Amino acid sequence: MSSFLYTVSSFFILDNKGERVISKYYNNDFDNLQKQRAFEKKVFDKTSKVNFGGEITLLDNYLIVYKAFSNIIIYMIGDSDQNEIALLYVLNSFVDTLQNLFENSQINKKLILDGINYTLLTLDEIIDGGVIMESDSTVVADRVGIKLPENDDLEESINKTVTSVKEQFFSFLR
Amino acid sequence: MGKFGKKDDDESEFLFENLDKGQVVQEKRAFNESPIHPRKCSLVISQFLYLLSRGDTFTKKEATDIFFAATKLFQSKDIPLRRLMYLLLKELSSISDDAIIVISSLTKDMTHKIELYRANAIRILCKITDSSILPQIERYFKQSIVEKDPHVSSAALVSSIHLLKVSPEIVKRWGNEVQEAISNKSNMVQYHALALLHRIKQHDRLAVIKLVSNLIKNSLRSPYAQSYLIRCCVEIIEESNTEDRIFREYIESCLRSKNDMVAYEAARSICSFKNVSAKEINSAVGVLQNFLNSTKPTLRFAAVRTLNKLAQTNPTAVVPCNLDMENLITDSNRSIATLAITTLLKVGNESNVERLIKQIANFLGDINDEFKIVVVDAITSLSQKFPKKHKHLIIFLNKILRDEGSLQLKQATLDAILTVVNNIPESKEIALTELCDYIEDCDFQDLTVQILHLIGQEGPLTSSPAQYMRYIYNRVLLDSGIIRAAAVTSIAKFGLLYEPMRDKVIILLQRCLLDEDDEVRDRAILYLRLFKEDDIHYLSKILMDDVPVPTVNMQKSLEVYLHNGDFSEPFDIATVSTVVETAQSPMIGDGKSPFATGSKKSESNVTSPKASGSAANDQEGPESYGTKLSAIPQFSGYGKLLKSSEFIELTETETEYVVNCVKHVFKEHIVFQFNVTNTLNEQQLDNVSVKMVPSDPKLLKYECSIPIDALPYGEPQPCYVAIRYNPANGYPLCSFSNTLKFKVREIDPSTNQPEEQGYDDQYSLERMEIVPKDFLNRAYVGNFVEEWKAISEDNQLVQTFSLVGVKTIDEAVKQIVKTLGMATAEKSEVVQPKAMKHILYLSGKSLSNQLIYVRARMKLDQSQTNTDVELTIKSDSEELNEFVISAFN
Repeated sequence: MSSFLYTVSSFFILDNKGERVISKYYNNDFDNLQKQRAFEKKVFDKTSKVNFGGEITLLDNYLIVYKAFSNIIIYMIGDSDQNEIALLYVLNSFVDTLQNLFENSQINKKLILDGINYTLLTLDEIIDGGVIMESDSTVVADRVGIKLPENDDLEESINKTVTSVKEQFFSFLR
Repeated sequence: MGKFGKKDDDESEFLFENLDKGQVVQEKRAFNESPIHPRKCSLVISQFLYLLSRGDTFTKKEATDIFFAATKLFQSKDIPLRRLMYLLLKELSSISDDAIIVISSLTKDMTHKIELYRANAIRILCKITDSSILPQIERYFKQSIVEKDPHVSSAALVSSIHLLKVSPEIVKRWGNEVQEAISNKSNMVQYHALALLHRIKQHDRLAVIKLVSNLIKNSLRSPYAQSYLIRCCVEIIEESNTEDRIFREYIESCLRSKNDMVAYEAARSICSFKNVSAKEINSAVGVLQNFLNSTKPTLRFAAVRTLNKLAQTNPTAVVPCNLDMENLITDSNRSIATLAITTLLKVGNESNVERLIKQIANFLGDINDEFKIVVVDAITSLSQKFPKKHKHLIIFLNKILRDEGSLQLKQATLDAILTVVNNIPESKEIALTELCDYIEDCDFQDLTVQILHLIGQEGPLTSSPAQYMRYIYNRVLLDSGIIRAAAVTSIAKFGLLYEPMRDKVIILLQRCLLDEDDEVRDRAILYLRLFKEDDIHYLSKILMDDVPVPTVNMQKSLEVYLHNGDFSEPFDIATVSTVVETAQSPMIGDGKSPFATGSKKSESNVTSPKASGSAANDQEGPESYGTKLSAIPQFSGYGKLLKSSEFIELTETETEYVVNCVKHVFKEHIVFQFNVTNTLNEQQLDNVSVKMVPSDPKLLKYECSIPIDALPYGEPQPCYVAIRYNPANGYPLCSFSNTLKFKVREIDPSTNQPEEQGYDDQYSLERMEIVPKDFLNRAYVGNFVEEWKAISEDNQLVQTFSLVGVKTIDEAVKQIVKTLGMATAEKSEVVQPKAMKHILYLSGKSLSNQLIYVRARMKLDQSQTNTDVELTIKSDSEELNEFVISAFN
């Protein structure tokens, strides 16, 4: 059995024509762009059929867990003997975090691309080399949507104060 | 938030989708501006990241340039920009040169008070270090692992997991820190620490057992850690045969977890165990049963997939879920529905299978062809389990055949029907009736032809053959040429196999004489003539016998025959290879297994449900060897190649040098072709030859040896040894001890060229024999039984012997066929399952084209551990009979 640890073998978002929006491969199963595209096409062909039903399937020894939105589908791919529910959890973390960051706007292609920095950072915070880094979407959203610390940079403000004091001092001397 | 500046909505989508790499690469200069504009730089980084994730490739130079430009941003104090910069550096670190340069900036960040800096810096550090640098920055990892902040600690732990592949020795030193991290308050840290610790100790089984037993008692909170721990327990139980119950108990306790992932991991683990108590499996199945009724497709899928697997090993355990799975047959997710059906069919029993089929039939209209094929396959396997239900199965399959559908689906369905008919003779009549109905309205020419073939084959043998004639003749009246031709043949078969109809058949055939299609007329004329001459023997030969060789090979051989233009001898079908040849030459092989060059595909196609398995001998086409050997000057005077043996392995396939041999027999010579493969990439072999020492030197004379000049790694080449024998003194049946001789030259790794100096070496090979089979060819006879009777018993030789240790008739048949290398006749190679006795017919011929007939009567002896054989050989030469029998000495 493959390891539980390397939960995700690849991740991609395809648009409603099956074209790649973004993708990330965590191992060398598909080691060049052609193979990746061919795989994505196969996955899309199987999962985009209207009468297929949604969320999960098995294809060529990969588990495919996915979620369809108005004009994109988000895919989380794992080895065939991976825990299906673990994959679903990762996908949910990703989607929930985006909802959180985009303040519950409808997820669609435009939103993903306009906020590409958030999309990619979210992915980076959730998965590291196939390993789940963090699953709690509020924690992930915090790490991506970085609030500025209260005293942004103490040194700088001190420096500024010192400078202005100096200036005042010198002008006083004059 | 989430927008770059005040760009218009359409424009921004446009901006990203049509990004041009060249243009964006130029924009990296934004990083050099002073002061840094965080928003502008963020946009540029986002563009780079987007291009990378879209699949655009950057050259090493481009990547390096961007990487270095981005390092300028370490000066910025804008946290969102820094976060993006880290991601960009991480992504580029593997393509860019000299990424090591940022180590000092990163180690500086490791002491920064902002956690986000430390967490991300360490993730990049792990990507750019190797074993030589790691010791210098080791302390940052150790520090970070024990940090309280979960972001930093998790980042350090996950990075260490990756580093374990690069520098395992160093990471293993951090065991204490990792142990400490397990008690971190964060769930994720706990999980990562457990995984790393387990991996560090992986090769020390006792340490793993100790670690796992401790953690079981510690009651971990993280669901991921629990799932991981379950896998560890499974591993321990499977590998160490431990008597300790705690591992099983832990898994069982996880079944009650509120977290679906954990409960499922526990359930599927229990289902995978080889030894499992009824209590354990019942509680596991109970969890899965709950999942079957979940609203979440993934849970239903997970459960039904696990049950499907379990149904193979333990069908009774799955039965309690039958009702729940029946509800899933109409699941909107097709994968779930498929799994449910196949599982149900696996655990189905005589009483519910009928209802099940009805249920599936009800929703057939809603599903696509691809899925219907899955159903058809499942139904086919069902027919083997419940032969009594054949009627329902056939009707069901016919329904699919008649509904709308692709040719692929219809072909699969027809194949399924043929399989059922073959396995369950009682199903024949109902299947034929249904199929007759179907061809009245069938859109696919191919299928109609196949069905007509089947009706012709089986129809005459049913209780009332006459009923089918109307359907067949309708095709003659209504369909296209190719179908009419098939129908004519089918009609003729009725005349042949069912005598009462012969007159009627002749009338029908006469009506076809004016057909506009040549093929139809030709067939009708031929059959009519044979009927009128009452030549039943020949008629049966052309109507009922399958072509005993692959049609492709037949075509090739015929083309060669015509091309050669020598028609003094008639074309002999025995010279056609039975092996389906692939494009690659069998002479050289692919270096792995010589058999890989010719996949042993039986010539049976869908039109002949009773596959004739006469491809009993893996003989390569002599014509391809013949041409190649005659091109070698030393052998050009040996005359026509009479017979080539199959490959004989003289080494194990996993050894340094792999050698197999083919024996080529000529009128007075035998050429041994040794295919040699050098599997050592650090060596080249020169002057490679095989030394053969015969057990009886008087029988033969050494002729010549052709060595291989140079044999590099991985390219198989042949070397040859030729001997001469005098056929007047009998064939040289003896054995040889063989030694591979060669000169080794080491490959210089710096130049990849072999060194000047080498040394002589040798390698012993397996012994090899010359056996009677090497001088016997296959021959095909139309009607073995008649030919057999025609030869007087004066010309026969009978011998009885026992095949010791051969416990089944099937095995005995295979052994006899293999020993004699002759063709099987009358489909006698097909043995009824569990048969206690059997008669096998073989036909062959000597190298001088004398026909040989062999009848082998065999039966299992009382102990059922040996097979007794009575072998009768008929030919026109006593000597030849003796020679054949000697194959069993």
